[in-house]
Amino acid sequence: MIIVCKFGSYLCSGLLERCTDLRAAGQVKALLDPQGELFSAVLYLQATDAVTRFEVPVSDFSEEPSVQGPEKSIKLDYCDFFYFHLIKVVTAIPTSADDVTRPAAPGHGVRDLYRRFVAFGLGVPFNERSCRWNHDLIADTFISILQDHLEFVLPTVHGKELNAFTSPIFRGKLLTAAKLGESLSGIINQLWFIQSKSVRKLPTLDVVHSAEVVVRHLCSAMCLNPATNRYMTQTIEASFAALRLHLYRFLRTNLQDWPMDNNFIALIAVWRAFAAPWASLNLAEDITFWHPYVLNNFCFYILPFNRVLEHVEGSLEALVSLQIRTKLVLQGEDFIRRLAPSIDCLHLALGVTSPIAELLRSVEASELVGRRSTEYRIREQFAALEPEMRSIPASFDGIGVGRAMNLIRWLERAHSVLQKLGLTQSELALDGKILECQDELAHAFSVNDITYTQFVKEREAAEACESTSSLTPRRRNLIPSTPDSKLAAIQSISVSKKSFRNDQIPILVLFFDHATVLINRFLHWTLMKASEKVTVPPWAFHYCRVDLRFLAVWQNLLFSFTMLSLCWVLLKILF
Amino acid sequence: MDPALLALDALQRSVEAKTVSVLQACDQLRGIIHEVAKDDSRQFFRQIFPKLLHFIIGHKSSLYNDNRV
Repeated sequence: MIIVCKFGSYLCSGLLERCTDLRAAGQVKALLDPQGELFSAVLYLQATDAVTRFEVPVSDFSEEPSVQGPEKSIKLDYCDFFYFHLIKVVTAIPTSADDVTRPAAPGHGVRDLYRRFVAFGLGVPFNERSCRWNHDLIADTFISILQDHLEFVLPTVHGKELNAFTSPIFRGKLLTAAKLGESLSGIINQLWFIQSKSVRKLPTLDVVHSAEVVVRHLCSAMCLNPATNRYMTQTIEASFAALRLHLYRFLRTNLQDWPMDNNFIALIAVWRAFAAPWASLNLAEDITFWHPYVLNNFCFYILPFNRVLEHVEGSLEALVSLQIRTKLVLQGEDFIRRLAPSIDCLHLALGVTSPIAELLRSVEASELVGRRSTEYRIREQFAALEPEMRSIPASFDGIGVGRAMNLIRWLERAHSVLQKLGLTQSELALDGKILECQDELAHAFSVNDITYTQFVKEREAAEACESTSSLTPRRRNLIPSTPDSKLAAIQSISVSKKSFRNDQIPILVLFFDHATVLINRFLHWTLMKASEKVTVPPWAFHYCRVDLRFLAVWQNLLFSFTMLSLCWVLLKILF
Repeated sequence: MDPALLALDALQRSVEAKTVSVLQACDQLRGIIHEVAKDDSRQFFRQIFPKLLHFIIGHKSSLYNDNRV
């Protein structure tokens, strides 16, 4: 019972999660693969039966809280229903609210516990984000099934001969085959990339890993399009365009929200899969071959890159300054394990932008001075992806260069701390990465030695000033700390003895209040009488009221009396 | 209830009770799919398809109605 409560049970989990060895996983994969028995039957029925639909509630597609009223549902055909299940399963972690009688699914079990244990052992902060799959074998099997389906509906040149467009089932029905690719990518976008605005939930690590596979595949399909028929090309282009939009929002949100833990690098890997396709495609092309791709997706190289640098700068500064100021409070291994995620993230991010830094700098400079690149419509791209922003944010301006130099400075300090701790083999690799990051930052942001030396001097002077300047305890004298002294301070505040000025005469107040009531009653009575004969609008009851209270102030009374007297005299003279 | 659905239910119970291994379950599933995917049994496939997906993949949707439209 304790084991079931802690590690979850297999109740309500599929065959996929019950696999414990490679052979069983292979058998399940053979069932679910595009060439497997189940999917072959699904394809056959998809091609021949256009009538059957399966209903799925809208709430299964979106995390938005449901509005009151009857729940709506979406009708899916055979393939859509199959893909919906395949994609949804990664996100479907049962919560306690789902079913109180059912223990947690295995996803909350061994693998998650292992990761937490490892994370605590490493001393790396670990948040409550859980994994879906209970074992790496199952995660790998799922990824393999997903890759096969992507290859089937959105083929690349490296793929198998048999795909949706060459399958004999869809002979003469290429439009149906094309629909498969769009529906798979659409369901992925909907279930993995579109996040609820009201319910902020971080994606699971398995979703991020699977998303990386999808992004890498679509980029490969887009760049290595076999172009054997126009339906295939159109499907790939449409899927890529939809992915681009949703992926950008996914990255923008999550790069800001995710804490810098040992999983942050998974998110950067998703960004890298899209922003640096040359890294995964291994084409022997010059980097200039990819310049059109970079310019067509220019926004992906600005905001996500800035967010990564901000994150890394914050975590490096916190960790290294703590280590230096507290006289090496962390033990050697502990410090290195805390430092490694930040360095890995920075290394990965710089690997994306460093080869194209010159291009990014020149485009940014030309956009900022107004010389727009009309061919790639960068401003229009930005307006589509960031409609709230009025201008394109800069990465390589003065602030960006300052941040890069600050990063180099903290990397230098981390390097010196490592040197003091003494380097073993693994630490040597980390130290090598630090030096590489410094070089790449200097190259990407055009930081030369003179500028950097001056920057370091200024920062050190500022730090020295902060540490030596004493605070003037001005506020301490003003606000005493003990309750008695506070009371004495409050009592010592001199309050003006002068009372508030009131020009109303009490007897006049009583008189005019009474008169006001009488007059208003009379007016109301008159209107009621009039309404019996003619139609009186409702606003007349509201506006036909007087308030003579102002006459209780003797100045007002005197003024009114004088004015009335003058009017009377004037009328007498005239008539 | 049609025989394919009964067979699938029985298989699911056996797997949950661990009297049938995953390998054996896959073999039996192949047989069931082969039978219900035939032209004259298409109706059966339509009925067991959601349950089949749940059994193999694992996620259960909160609604399993299937309608002809």
